[in-house]
Amino acid sequence: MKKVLALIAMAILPLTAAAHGPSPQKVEKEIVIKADPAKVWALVKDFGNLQKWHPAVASTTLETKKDENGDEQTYRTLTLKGGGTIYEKLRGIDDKDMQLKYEIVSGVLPVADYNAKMTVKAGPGAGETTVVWMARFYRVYKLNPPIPAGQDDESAISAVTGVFEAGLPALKALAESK
Amino acid sequence: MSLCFAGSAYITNQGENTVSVIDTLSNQVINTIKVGLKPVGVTVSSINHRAYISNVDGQSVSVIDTTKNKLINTYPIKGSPVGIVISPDNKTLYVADWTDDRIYVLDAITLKAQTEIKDGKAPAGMVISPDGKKLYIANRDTNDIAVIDTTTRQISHRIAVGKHPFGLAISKNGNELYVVNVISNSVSVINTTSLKGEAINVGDHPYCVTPSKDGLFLFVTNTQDDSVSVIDLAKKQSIATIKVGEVPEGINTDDLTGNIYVANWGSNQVSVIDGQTQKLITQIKTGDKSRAFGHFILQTSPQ
Repeated sequence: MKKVLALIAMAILPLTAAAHGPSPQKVEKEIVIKADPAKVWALVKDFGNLQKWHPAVASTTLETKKDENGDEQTYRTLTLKGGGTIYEKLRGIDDKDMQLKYEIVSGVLPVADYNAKMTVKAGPGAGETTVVWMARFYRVYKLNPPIPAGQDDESAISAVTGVFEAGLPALKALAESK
Repeated sequence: MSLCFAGSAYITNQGENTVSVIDTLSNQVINTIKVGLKPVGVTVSSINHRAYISNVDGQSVSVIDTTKNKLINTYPIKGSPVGIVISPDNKTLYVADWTDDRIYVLDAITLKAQTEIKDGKAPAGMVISPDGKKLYIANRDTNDIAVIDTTTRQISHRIAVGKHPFGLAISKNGNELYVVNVISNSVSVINTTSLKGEAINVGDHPYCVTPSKDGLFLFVTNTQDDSVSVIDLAKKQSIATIKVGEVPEGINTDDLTGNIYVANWGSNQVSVIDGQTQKLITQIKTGDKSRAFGHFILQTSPQ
């Protein structure tokens, strides 16, 4: 938890979505929760309330506005306890497949072209639910080596891993509480 | 005596620096070959019996002997090689440097550099007309296709397309070029004579496209929908969506069976779609982060 906050606070590099390097990175984590899938899905799909379960998030502000194609879209601003913000766009809430998709527009994480999905599935056991959180992204530095410190693949992977590893146990704890 | 043929799919696995070789008759992985760092692009040559692999972080091209499925050599290339394509006569290899915006023209046997072509920003997918006269390059960051005269090695035309063109394919007769526009969620179908075309909507964040064996349909990978869109070219619209593995990228048609092969970056596997029924047949486990960007299925005759 402390590590996540430190990571996020340290990552002061701006994120630009204009271009990226050619090698996408992936972080995928899952957790089994002893709670009903519907209960877990209700928490996961609540795009405007990440502070309810993620320990690095102090507050979430929801916003609806037109994107560059003129379509109404939902965005959120995450204000982090360690300082800084992350601005994210909702890409879809699929109640049938229990899947939330979103992307990072800008923010303090040292990543580029970040998109992620959270999938909620029943099982493996009766009364259990599995949550899979998967993100695909690029490092910040888009040119050929040498790659500046903090803008490489490892920095991006470690920051996203930190966010996921802090978030999932906290989601589990909240979903399993009465 | 009957003459039988076989097909092999060369699947680049970005996460483990290997290529998985799939026999398209048995749909089994028959070899796994170590290549350079972060392999992405692939092009195959039936005349030279080679598969050429672009290693983006390795800044190199690995060459595989397809008769033995063994690595011959890995050749250094400046920049970030991604797109890779061989000429129809199998003499010339073109490699796109994503970062420094140039196309290397190499001898396909010696891999000696012949010249460089500067064309647009972030060159990605490339295809060559069946007669070998034109090279088409998708320039992701300039939102256009550069048409290169392969004799003069100069740009003859530029075709404006949708936002962030990435994967390309061409019809067997060379009359139509297919361009996947990643940010526009569409595929442009372009007449290669008039250079005019229209865009057809597909799924979320599409990457690559392949025509069906009969040329009547297009199959398009939608990376953020975990699906493949089927476009009916006569109707000029998407008629079906097939669920595949996670984050599907490279897609090719096996000319032997007509089946469609899809590399899934997110779930480390290849999905096989029946080209006739347009249904998923099977999923084959490959390596970590399968991409297979380019022409990855080789048709071979027995030795």
